[in-house]
Amino acid sequence: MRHNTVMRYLKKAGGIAVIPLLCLVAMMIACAASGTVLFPDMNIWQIFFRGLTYVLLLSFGVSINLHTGRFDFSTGAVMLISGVIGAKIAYASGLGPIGMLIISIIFGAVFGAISGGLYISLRLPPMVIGLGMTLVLEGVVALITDGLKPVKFGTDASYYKFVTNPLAMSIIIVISLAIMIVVFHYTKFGYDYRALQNGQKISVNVGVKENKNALICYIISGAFLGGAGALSLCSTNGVTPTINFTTIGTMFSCFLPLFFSGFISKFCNKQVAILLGCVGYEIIQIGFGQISFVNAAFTADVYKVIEAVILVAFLIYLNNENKIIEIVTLKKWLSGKNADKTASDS
Amino acid sequence: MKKLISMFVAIACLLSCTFAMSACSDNNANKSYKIGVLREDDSSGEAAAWEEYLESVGKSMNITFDFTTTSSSESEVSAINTYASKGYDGILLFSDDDVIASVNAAAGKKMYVVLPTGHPTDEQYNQLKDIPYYLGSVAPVDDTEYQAGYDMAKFFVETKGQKNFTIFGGATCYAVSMHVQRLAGILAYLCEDSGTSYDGVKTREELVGKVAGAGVDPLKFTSSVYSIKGYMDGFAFDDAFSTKLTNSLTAGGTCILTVGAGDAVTGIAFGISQGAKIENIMVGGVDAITSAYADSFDIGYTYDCGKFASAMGPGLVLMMSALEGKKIVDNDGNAPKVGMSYWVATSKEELNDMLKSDNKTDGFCYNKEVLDHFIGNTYEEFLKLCSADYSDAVEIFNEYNK
Repeated sequence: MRHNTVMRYLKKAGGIAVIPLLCLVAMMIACAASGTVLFPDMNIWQIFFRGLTYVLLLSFGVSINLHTGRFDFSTGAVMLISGVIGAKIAYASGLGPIGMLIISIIFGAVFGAISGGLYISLRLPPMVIGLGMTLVLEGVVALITDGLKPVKFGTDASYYKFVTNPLAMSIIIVISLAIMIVVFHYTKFGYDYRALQNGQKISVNVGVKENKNALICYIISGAFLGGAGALSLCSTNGVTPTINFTTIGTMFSCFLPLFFSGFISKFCNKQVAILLGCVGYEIIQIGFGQISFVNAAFTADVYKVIEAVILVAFLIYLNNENKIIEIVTLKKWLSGKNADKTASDS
Repeated sequence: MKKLISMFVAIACLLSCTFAMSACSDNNANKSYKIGVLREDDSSGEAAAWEEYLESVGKSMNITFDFTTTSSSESEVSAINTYASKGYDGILLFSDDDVIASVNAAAGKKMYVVLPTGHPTDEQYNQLKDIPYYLGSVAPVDDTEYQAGYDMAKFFVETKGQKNFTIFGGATCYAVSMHVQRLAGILAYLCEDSGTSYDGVKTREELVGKVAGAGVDPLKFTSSVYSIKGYMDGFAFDDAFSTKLTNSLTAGGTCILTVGAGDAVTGIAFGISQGAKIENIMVGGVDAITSAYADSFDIGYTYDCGKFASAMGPGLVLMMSALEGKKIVDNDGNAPKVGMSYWVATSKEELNDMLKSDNKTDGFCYNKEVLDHFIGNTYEEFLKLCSADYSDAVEIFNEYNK
C-alpha cells in the first residue's frame, strides 16, 4: 500500500518535472557539443527570468480564452496598445516601470472588457471579434503615437533594469500564479469557468451565466496581456509600433509552453503546469541563443524551424500518447507474450 | 463700312486670341495632377517622412497624392487599375513584388510609373526601358550601399579608434542585396589591413559571395588588428537575440555596426549595457535620416547614414517632367536608372541640422522652387540632384530659394 503511494508520488513528481528537466538536459548537452554553456553568467540568468515572466503572463492571458474555445487574435494588439499607453504615461509623469506595469494592466483589462463586451453583445465568432479589435486597436496605437513614431524611454535605463531584475520578475511570477490559482480554482467564477469548459450546454442549463463568465475572462486575460505588453516594451527599451495585423503573430510564441503544460497538467494544477511549460520553453530560447552565438549556421530561421518541429512533435505525442506508450514500452507485445505463456502453462 | 467691319473682326479675333491664350496659360498654372503611391511599408519613420514630403510638396505644386499599402503583385495591379479608373496620372511604385507586372498594368492604362526607392534588376530594366510610360528609377545603387558600409567601418576605426566589433546583418540572411552590400563594405574596409581576411578572402566580390544568404561567422574572421565578437541577423528581437548580443557585448564587442534597424538594436544594447554595467557602447547604422534616430544618439548611437525625406524629390522630377511633356531620358534615350547619395550624420547636432533643413514645419530641402528648376531640365542637371550629399543639397536649396 505504502509502496503504491510512494510510486504514485514519484510518478507525479516525474511527470511534473520531466519537461523542464528534459529541456534543461537537452540544451546543456547541445550547448556543450557546440563548445559553450547554457548559463555562463548572471546576465543570461537575468534574460532567463525576464523572458520567463513575459511568456508566463502571455501564456496565462492567452490560455484563459483559448481553453474555453475562444481564439482571440487581438492578443498582440492589446499587448501593444497597453504597453504603449503605459510607457507614455509612466515616462511622461516619472512613474517608473512599476507605475507603467500597473497602468498597462489596467488598460489591458479595459481593452479586454471592450472585446468581451463586443463578443457577448454581437454574438459573432471570437476570431471575427479578435480581428476587428486588432484593426481598431492598431489604428488607435497609430493615433496615439502620432503616426507610429517610436515609443522610447530616452536615457532612463530603469525600465530595462526592472525587467532584468530576477527578484522583481520572481515576485511578478508568484503574484500572477497566485491570482490564477485563486481565481480559477477557488472562486465561484472559477468553478463556473471550468464547468463551461467541460460542458457548455449543461452548465448553462444548471444556471451558469455564460455571458458574465466570458466577459470576466476577457477582462482578466486583458490584464495579463497588458502586463506582458509592458514587460515586452521594457525588454526592448521601447518599441516602434507597426500596424496591418502585424501584432497577430505575438500570441503564437506562447503555444509551445501551453502545449507543454497540456502534458504537465495531468500531474499538477493547470496554472503550475503553465509555469513549468514556460520554464522549459525559456530554457530552449536561451539554449538556442547560446548555440547560435558560437555556431553561425544556427541562425534565427534554423531555430524557429526547430521550435516548430518540437511543437508539432509534441502535438503528435499528445494526440497519440497511449499508442506511443504502448510502442515504447512494448506493452502489447509483452501482454501478448504473457497471454501465450499463460495459455501454454494451462 | 467694310473697313470698320474688318477692323471689328480683327479686334474680336485679337481679343479672343488673348482670352484663349490667357485661359491656356491659366490652365497650365492651375493644372492639377493626381498621383497614386503604392508601398509595402507604411509604418517606418522613413515611410512617414516620405509621405509628409509628398503631401507637403504636392500641396504647393497642385498635386494630389494618394497612398495605398500593398502586399502582393496582385494587390499592386488591382490598386493601379483602381487609380486608373479614378483618372490618376501616374504611379510612384515603392513596392517591388513584380515590377514588370505593375509597370505593364500602369502602361496599359496610359499612366506613368516611377520607381523612387529601388531599381529593377538589369534583366527587368531591359524589359522596361522601351515602355514609354516607364520613366525610370532613382535610388541608392549597390555601389552606394557598399560605400555606406565601408565608410561607416572607416569612421569607427579611424575616428573613434574601435577595433572590436559586434555586427548586425539585418536581412543578409535572406540575401537582400542592400544589406549584403553594406555588410561587404564593412568587411572590405577591415580587410584592407594586410593581416585581416574573412574566410580567406578580402575583395568586395568575394566577400559578397561569402556573406549573401549566410551572414558572418566570427570564427572565420582572422585579423591581428580587429575582432568580430558576435554576429546576428534577422529581425526577431527575442530572448535568443538578447542572449547573443549580451555575450558579444560582454566579450568586448562594444562597437556595434548595423546595416539596418539600428534604433531597435541601440535600444536593446543600451539596456544590456546598463544592466551588465558595460561602458562606452557605440552603434553605427545605415538606415534613414529620421527624427527617430535623434533620440538614439542619447543612448549610444554615434553614426547615422541613410535616405532623407527629400529623397523623393528626384523621382517626382521624373514624373512631373513627363506629365508636362518634357520627359527626362538618359544619354541613350532610355528611362534613367540613377544612383542616389545618402546623407551622413556623426552627431546628434548634425542630425538635427539635417532634420531642420528637411521637414514639414520648417520646409523641405527639395521644395517647389528646387523642383521647378529640375522639372523638364536636362539629364545632366538631373544627375546633380541625384548625386547630392547633404552639403550639396543645402547648396542646391540656397541657389533656388534666393
